Amino acid sequence: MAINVLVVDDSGVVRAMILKTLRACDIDLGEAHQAANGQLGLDELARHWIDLVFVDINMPVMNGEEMINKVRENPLWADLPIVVVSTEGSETRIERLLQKGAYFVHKPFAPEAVREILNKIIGVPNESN
Amino acid sequence: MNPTEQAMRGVVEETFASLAFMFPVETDSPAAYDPQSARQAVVGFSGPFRGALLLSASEELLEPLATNMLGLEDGVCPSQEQKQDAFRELLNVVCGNLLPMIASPRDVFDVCEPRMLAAPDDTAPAAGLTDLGTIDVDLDAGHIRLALRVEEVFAAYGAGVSPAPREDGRAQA
Repeated sequence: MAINVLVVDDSGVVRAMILKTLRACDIDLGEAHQAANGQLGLDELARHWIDLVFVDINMPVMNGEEMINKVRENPLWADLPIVVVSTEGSETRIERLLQKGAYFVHKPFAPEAVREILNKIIGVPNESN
Repeated sequence: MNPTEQAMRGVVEETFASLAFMFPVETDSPAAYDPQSARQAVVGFSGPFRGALLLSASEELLEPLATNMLGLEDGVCPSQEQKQDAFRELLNVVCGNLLPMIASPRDVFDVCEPRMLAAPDDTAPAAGLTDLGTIDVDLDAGHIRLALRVEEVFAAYGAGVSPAPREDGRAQA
């Protein structure tokens, strides 16, 4: 079954890099939606059926952590898989994100890091497997 | 080179290699930094100490940066917006990775949105700011400069002079 993804990052270049990485992974990628901040991300979530969200932390208008809080408040999205792709280096903040049920990929990321997370979430095999 | 500048160099080299596939080169005649032709981006941050990082590069470097980051095909040129976006994102990644190394891994920083400066700021730091480190890096595709400036009150209390990095590259808590 095709996976619909939402990529939320204020950098169009980063959104393109994430989508390119996803297309290179062995997943049946369905619709790929994009948003430039957390608020626009919530709007996209309300408009489309999304199976997996990639979100940055530092963004204008609404940052990624606020967006995750809003998502988790909605029973419809309470179990939605969320992958934080961020430069965040504070162990304190990363622990807080993990407690909200998010996965974490550190920027700069290697494609293998994304593939590994996808493997955990939807069972995409690693290339080495 | 002080410990902060060593950390800055390590983060810059890793970031440009990972994201833009550009690598440092050793050269006997390093490229002269020309502020007249440089493009510069700045990102501010606040947390245990406040300051800004400034990244400068020649205009010519912005196109291969964006091309490499986006993985564009030969002959496809990135737009001006994409070039600036790629440059800002590199600075964002450098900042996010550098701060935990010069502070404590548990410290939380808020990082502002990086922005391009209309004219390079290569004069002495503005009043109230002090320069904790400036590095010049020759990459195989061009030359870049990174400067770290923090508010004087924080610099006076040791911001950016944390102990030597641990084996995982982070500073000691």
